This record gives sequence, structure tokens and C-alpha cells, in this order.
Amino acid sequence: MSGEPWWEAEEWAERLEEKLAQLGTRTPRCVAEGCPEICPFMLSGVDPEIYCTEHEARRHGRPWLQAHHPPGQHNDPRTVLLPANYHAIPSELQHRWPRETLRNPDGSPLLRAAALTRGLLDTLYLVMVIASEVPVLLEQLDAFLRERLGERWRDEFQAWLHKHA
Amino acid sequence: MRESSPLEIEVAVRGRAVPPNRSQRRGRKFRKELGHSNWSLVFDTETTTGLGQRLRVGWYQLYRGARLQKSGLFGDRDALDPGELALVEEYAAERGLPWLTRDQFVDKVFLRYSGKQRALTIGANLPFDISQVSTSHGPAKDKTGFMRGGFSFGVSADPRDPHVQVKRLGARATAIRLTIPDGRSAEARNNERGGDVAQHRGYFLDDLGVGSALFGQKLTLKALADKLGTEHRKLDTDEHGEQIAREYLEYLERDVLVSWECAQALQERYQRFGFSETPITDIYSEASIGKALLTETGAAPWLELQPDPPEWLLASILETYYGGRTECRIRRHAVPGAYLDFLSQYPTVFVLQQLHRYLFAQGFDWHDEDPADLQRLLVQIEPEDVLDSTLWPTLDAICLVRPEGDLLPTRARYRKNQARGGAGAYNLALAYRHGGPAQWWTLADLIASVLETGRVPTLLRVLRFSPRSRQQGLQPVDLNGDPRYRVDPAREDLIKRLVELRQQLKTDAKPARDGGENEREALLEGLSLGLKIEANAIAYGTPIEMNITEHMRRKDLTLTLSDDSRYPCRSRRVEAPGRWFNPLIATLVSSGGRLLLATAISLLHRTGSEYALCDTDSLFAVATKTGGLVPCPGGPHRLPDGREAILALSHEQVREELIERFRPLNPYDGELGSRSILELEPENLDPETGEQIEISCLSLAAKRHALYTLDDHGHPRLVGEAGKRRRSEHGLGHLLLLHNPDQPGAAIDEFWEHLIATELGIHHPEPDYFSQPAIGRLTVTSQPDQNAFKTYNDSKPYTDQIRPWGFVTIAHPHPLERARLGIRCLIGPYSRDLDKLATQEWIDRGNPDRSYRLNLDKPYEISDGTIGAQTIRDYYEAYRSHTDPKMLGPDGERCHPWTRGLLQHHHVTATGLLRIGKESNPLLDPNDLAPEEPTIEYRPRLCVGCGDPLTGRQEKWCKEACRKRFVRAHSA
Repeated sequence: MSGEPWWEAEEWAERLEEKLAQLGTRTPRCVAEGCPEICPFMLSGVDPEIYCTEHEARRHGRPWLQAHHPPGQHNDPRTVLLPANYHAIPSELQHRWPRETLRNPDGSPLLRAAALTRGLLDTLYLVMVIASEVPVLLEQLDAFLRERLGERWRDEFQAWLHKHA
Repeated sequence: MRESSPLEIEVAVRGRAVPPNRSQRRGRKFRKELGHSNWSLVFDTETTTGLGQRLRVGWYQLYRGARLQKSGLFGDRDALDPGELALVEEYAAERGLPWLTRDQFVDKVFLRYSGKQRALTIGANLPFDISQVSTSHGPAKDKTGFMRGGFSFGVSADPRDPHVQVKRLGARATAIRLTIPDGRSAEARNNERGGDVAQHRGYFLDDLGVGSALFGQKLTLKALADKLGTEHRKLDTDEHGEQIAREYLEYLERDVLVSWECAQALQERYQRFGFSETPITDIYSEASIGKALLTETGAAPWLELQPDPPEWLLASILETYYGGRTECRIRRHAVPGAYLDFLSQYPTVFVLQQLHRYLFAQGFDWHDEDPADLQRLLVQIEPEDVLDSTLWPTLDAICLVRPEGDLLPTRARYRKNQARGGAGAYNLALAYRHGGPAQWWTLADLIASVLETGRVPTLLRVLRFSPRSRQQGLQPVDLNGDPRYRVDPAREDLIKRLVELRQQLKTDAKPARDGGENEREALLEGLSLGLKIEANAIAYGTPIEMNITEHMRRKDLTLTLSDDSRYPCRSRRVEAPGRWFNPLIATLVSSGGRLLLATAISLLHRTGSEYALCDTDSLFAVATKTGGLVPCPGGPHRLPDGREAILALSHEQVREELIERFRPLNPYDGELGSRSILELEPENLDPETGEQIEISCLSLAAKRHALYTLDDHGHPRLVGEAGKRRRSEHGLGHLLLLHNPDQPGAAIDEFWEHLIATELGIHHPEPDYFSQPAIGRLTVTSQPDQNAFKTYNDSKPYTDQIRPWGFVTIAHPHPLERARLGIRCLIGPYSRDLDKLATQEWIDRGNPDRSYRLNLDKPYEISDGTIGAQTIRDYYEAYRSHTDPKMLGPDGERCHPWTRGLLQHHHVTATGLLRIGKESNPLLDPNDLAPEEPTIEYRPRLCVGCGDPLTGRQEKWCKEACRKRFVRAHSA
């Protein structure tokens, strides 16, 4: 991988621009009610009829989980199931891999090992992306509860837990 | 004074010819723009100073949002000597900057960011920089026709990469676009799935173009940075073309930084308008700002609401359209007087006629009115009626007139011996019309004629217009997002509100200025200027916008006349109306402006006085402090010594008989409403006491005049503030010597002061620069300009050629040398160094193998390798003796160089009406530059034999029998 972060890589920016042009807006958002998805790579359709991959799958009666080949299907046929929206991230990251590594037409064990490592790093990155939402959410929830219930909220929460234990 | 016999001449009126498939072209879908990304690419280039300005070194910066991400140098290594190359490499290495070749810059920076990443591309004079990074160029092709007539620059060897198209749209406006490369684009995929995203054509922001539009004047990068108050300012350098030094590279970097800061400031300034529908990259000129405001109000253009108006109706309305009235009435004879100006003339006329009813209507209807009714009105018309505002809303009529001595706007080629291959030179003048074909004029022009002649025209037909109901869905717009500065077209007259708001902003800016709140003052003044531009653009600019499409071959067109007869004609240049085209508003506004002027002149004539000049919205009334006779050749009065004279008003009479009379016409409310719409210009007043002083005017021809006073030594001094002296620049603008960036306009002031002194017979030392060569600058912006250098370019590699948007200097051989050598035009490298220009080698544009040095001292002496060139003195003499073809001398003859005194209007009998398109201004000296495209003339294609319309490939005869019959008849 190059030294610069992937989200600043030029290829990524080019693909992002292409995706936005395909969607037809610079501020895409899934139109399904309550869906907050705004990542262009997880969206499809054309403005204003834009759906995230999961809602699109549901609309067409398809499963919302998708099979992902972390090291690329040419390197390893095994898959992991990912929510369709999150599948877009490792798929996009794979576009940044050297083509030889992803395709590995000669079955080189070294390239396969490289692909497995890259797949692992991408998965870790995906975990990072998903997990990065959690602390923010917890901090926001803490602020919300303080505002609504004051400093006593933890006592009340303990009492609630005790009641429902 | 004697009246001359009528001049028999072909009269030109505006017409419109449309391609046969016009209806298919309509309805083009306006697609949604995705907009640029948060990347910005700013770059600037420096070149050699030869004729073919070759890229030496360039600097680029890439910003993401407001943060600088990358910067670097690029250039043409072959254009640098080893020392320079080593210096640039060392400098780049020290600063850790990439040093790219031109190809690498194009591939890794320009196409990647401006192309694929949709960056906003910023520069000062971007077309020049784009031409520097190009590898080829050719005529721009474009299905829509918008870019035709421009250039297409190839920047990459890869045929899949886009070209960059550049087209000059006007004096200060340039459109830049990327072509759409082959292959299926993301936008095409979007469109296939039902989306409406427009193809990616790049996003270019030329600071100088947008700056000129927002400030309403031509600006350099230095001046723009000063006006915008950017953090960094452009550095001064005299090193263009010299050995590259570190300081020069720093200068280059600073230029890029200043361009970026200017772009940021311009975007911020533009955001104050609050236009969400029009991005700044679509702003080409002042008119764009007016159009943006109209778009914002949710109004629909007239042509969308009434997409198929009858062609005969359009032809009739266009026939009545003329520009402003500009005249020299007293030629080469200085007279004292008062300089008067109408307050925001076109917006005021728009408001007086309540034309917002038409602008925001769902279209308009028309009906025939009894000519006798209108004729009865004209019989009784007096200036007092015109000064009653109730008349103005009733001026929405046009009349078919059989002219019999009426003084009416007449566009013709008045100049004798037009030896310009038919190029340009249509002049608009008021002329007494006698006979000839019936013609349409607006009611306002007829009233103006009655006021000046007292004669009622014979009306054959009257068409009265009425607006339909108001459009639905009009929205208010808060300028600068401030509800105090709200304009609501559904409730009020938009233009009236804009003019009043401008006054309010000026008032608001005063306490800010007094309180030292510079930022707020700048904000309010910026908004105020914007409102002025918007009001003028909406009232007058956009309604008559015609965009010309250049074709490689002549196109078959159909010309419809006002009697609904149709004729085939051909033109290589085809006009298409702009989006907000509404010829009725345009003609009513411009004719209303002429009526205001005619009313003032009529009032002046009633007092027995005269005017020295008028120019669209201003006039110079002959006046002295106490009034009385002043000498003037051709005048109707006599002085005791027998000299001819005219009557001058007293200053008090100017106020009472002219200015105050226009007070009832003021349509505005608030502070503005208390003034007269005819005002004394500030130059008439003593800056300290505020009292009216005596100023004089010397006029040579229309648009060539100066206002002055005499100083204690009896020398003429132009009136007005430094840099804004009251003298015209018309015909002098292109002379380099007259433009000193440190003292803008000072040399032209000196030129005029010397001219006035000479005319007055006062000894006045000749300006130092008079013996310098008259050198002009030419920027190659059109195909004819470029073609003029074909001979020079043919033998050169592309990098050394004179390319589009390159600039050269042009000198003119002395007439004797022109006769001896046949050389019409000399070209030389561009330089600001005047000594260098005088001593450098010049080549014959038509034969680049011949080079010369200029012989300025003794142009009559013939010596090898030198050529006598015209000096500023020659130019001065020619300028001084420039005639005014639009008017007759006091003796009733055509104006000669020595004609002095009170001029008269021509008497004209039209031999026919020729339909023309948008007028182009021909250059004053055809030898100066490559001739511009002539005015489009729609000449019906008729059979020479029988007069039937020609079709298809028929060039002269509709059938062989016609040709034979014609030959037989003529041979007999």
C-alpha cells in the first residue's frame, strides 16, 4: 500500500468522483425512511431515487448479507458474510491492490500470501470503520442522558438494570 | 447653413434568420451540473519573450478545501539554458517540490485533477496558460454550437484524453470547457438510468474574467488583488524573459498564491448574491449576474413561455431595435457648458414603462390599433407630455411608418469609400428620412421625432402590445442572505427595487466608512456595485442577448420579413437568442432612453440653445454662468463682430429649464425619489464650494470628446479625478505607450490636453512620447487573428508558433513605406520596455523572412534593414482629423477633417432595407490587426433574372432559362 492514507489516494478520489457522477449528486443519501447511509460507494440508483445496497436488496427480495472474498476469489474461494453496505468498503479497497495480486493468474504462493495479508488489513480497516462509530455514539448518548436526566442517570440506569435483571 | 439633398443609401435594420431545423433544436434539455469537487488546481506559467511565447517554467498548487496539499514546478527543459535548468532543479530540490516536464504536469496534475477529479481550475488569464501547456490546437467543434469559433487545445498525446476548448465571448469574457472524451462516462451511465446529470466539461475560474464581471471593469491581477484586499499582493518584476533567478521563481509562486486568494475572495463575494442556481464558473460577464438573479427568482424566460412567436412579429420588433444615441453636435470647436447625465438611464426607463409587467408575464399579446388614434396623439405631443410619467406605460407600441422628413434612427454605412471588403462600419445616427420603403419604429422614437421636428409621421400600421398575467411561482431573493435586502418580483418592480436598494446600501455604507468599519463598507459597496450590474443587465443586456455560432461553411437560413414574406439566405455565422431574449423589452428600453435624451434636447432647443455632444445617457448643454451668445461656426446667431454664434443657457437656466423639468419623472421612492433624473455630473461643481463652475467641451466625433477647464496659465486641464478624467479613450485603447500601469490614463490625459491646446491655438509642449512608435498589442483570440499568422507559423515547430491567446506587438509602417514596400503590418515580440520595442527587430506579418528595425527619426529616408514607422504623433494627427461620417458639416456637406462648428443630421432616402444581425465593432485601423468578423448581413438569395427565391445549390439563377433570357436581354 502506498504511504498516503487510502482515502486521500488519487485513485480513490477519482473513483469517488465517478461514483458521484453516476449517482447524479454531490450529496447522495439513501431515500429509504430512517436510513442514514450517505457513503456513495454503498449507494446505487440515480438522484433522487437513491438506495443503499441493503435497502436495494430488500426492495428486490434479495438477502442483505453478501459474500466477500477477503483475499480475492482467485486467491481463496472462501468467503465471509458482510452486511451489503459494508461490503462496498473492502471491495473498493481491493480496487487499489496491484492487479497481479488480486488476479494472481499464475497462482503464485507469494502473491497469494500478499493477498491474504492485504485482505486481513482491509478487514481490520473495516472493523476500524465500524468500530469507530461506537465511541462517538457512546459519547453522544452520555451527553444526551446527562441533558435529559442529569447526573443521576447512572443511578437510575442501575435501578433499571436491577429491575430487569 | 444649407440643406443638402437626401443621401440615397441602403439602410440596415436588425433581422433574424433561422436555420430550417430550428424547431428541432429547441427544447434542448438543460441538464443538472454536478459541480466541482473540493479540489482546486491553481497554476501559472512564464514564457520566453519571443514572438512565439514558449513555456519556460510554471508553478502549480493543489488545494483541498482551503488547505494546500501539493505544489510543484513544471516546465519545458529545452527552453531553459543549462544554468537555468540547474537553478530550477536545485530550487525544487531545496524546497522538496516536484519538477515536472510539461507532459508530466498535464498527465499527473492537469488531466488528473481538472479532468478526473473535477477540481476547480483557477488562474489569472487562464486561456494563455492553457495554450502554454498545449501541444496542438485547432478550431473548436461543438454539437451545440456554443464553442464554435473558439479553439480546441490538445494537451495530451493520448487520443482518449479530453481537449480544452477556449472561446472568447466578449471583451472580457471567455468560456473554457473540456471536451467529452470517447468511451462511456459515468454521466452517460447516469443518463441511461434516467438521471439528468450534464457531461463533465471541467470547472474553470479565470480570476480576471470573473473579477471583471463582478467589478464591471477590466482588471489586472494586481488591481484585482488590491480591490479584493487579499492577504498577499502581486510582486513587481522586470525580469520577464530574462535569465531565471530564484527571485523570479518566488515571483511565480506569489502569482499563483495571489490567484488562489483572489479566487477565494471572488467566490466569497459572489456568494453574497445568494445565487444557488448559478455557480461562479458560469459567470462570464456582467450579464451573467443579471441572468443568475432572474434564474433565482424562479421566473421563466419568455421564449420558454411563448416558444413559437410569429416570425413576422419578431422581425417587426427587431426592426425597431437600435442602440444608444451618440452624436457630436459641435465639432472641433470648444464651447462652455454643463455636463448632464440621466440617473441609471436604462433601469429608469424600464421602471417608467413598467416593463416588469412584461419581464414576469406569461408572455405578451398584440393587436392592431387604429393609426389615426395614435396620429392624433402625436399631433398634440409636447415635451411636457413626455415629462408626465403617465405617458410612459403607454409607449409599448411599434408603428409602420412612411417617412417624409421625420428625424428617425437610421443605421447605414455613412462613410464614403468603404474599402474594407464589406467589413463592419454600420453607424447609427438620427437622420431625416425622405421616402423609401415603409419601416417599423417604436412609438418612443416617433415621439422623439415629433419633439425635434414638429412634424407628425405618417403611420401605416400600429401594433400595440399587452402583457399576459403574471407568472406563478416567483420567489423572493435575499441578497447576502439578509432579509433587509430582499427583492420580491411577485410584489414589486424588481428593477425599481434594485435601484432603490443600491441607494440604501450606499447610505448604509456611509456610517460604516465614517466608523472605520472597512470590512462592512467593502461588503456594502460590493453589493451596491453588484446591484448596479444586475439592474443594467436585466433591463437592457440580457433581453437582446444573441449568441453567434461560427460555422466552417455557410449555412442555409430562412429570413422572414415583417410582412411575413420569407427568403432564403446564407451565412457562416448564425445567431441564436440567449435564454432571456425578449426583443420587445430591449427595444422599448433603448428607445425610451433615446426619448429621454430627445426630450432634454428638445427643451434645450426651445430655449434657443444647443448641445455639444450626447452619448446615450448624457449630454453637454452649451451654457455659461450668465448665459448669452458664444461663437460657433454654423450657429444661427451673429456676434457684434459678425461671427456666427449660438445661444448659451445660464447656469440657473440649466437648473430651471432642464434639470428641474425632469423631476416629476423620477419613479423612485425614498431618498432617491427626491432627485431629478437629469443630474449635473460632479465635474461641473467646485469640489470645495459645491458651486457650478464653467467647464468646456471639445468634441471631434461621436465618442471622441474631452471636458476641460483652463488653468491659471491658460493651459487646458481635463476635469475629473486623477484616473477618471472626463475624456474618451475610444480609438486609443490599444496603444501601448498610452498605458502606464503606475499612472493609469495619465498619458491619454496628456494626449487630450495637447490636442485641446492645439485646437485652441495655445502653445503647448508636445508630450515626450509623441516621437515613439505607435505600437499596439494584439492578443490572438479568434480564428481570423490566428490565420493572419499562418505564414509565420508554417515554418516553425509548435512550441515556437504564435498560438491562440499569445500576444504580440504590432507597429504600422509609415504610409510612404507602405506604398514603397507593400508592407501593411509589422509584428514584434511583446515587451513592456518601450526602448526595447523601439530597437527590436520587427517582421513583416505577410512575409516573415523579412525583418526590419524601426526608423523613427527620418521616416522619409530609405535605408536597408529599416522601415519608417508611424509614431504616436502620426496617430495623433490622424486622430485629430478623424471625421464624423454620421453628421454633415455646417455647410451641409459631408464632414471633412477640417469641418468645424455646428453639425447637422443627414437627409436620407433609403434605397432598400438590409437585414443584419448583431453588429460587430470594426477596428478603427484595418491595418492594425487582423480584421474582425463583419456584421452579419442577411441578403435574400434571389434569382438575378426573375427575382424568385433560390434554393439548394442555385447560386445566381433559379433555372437555366432565366440565365439565357437575362443574357439575351442584356446582350441586346
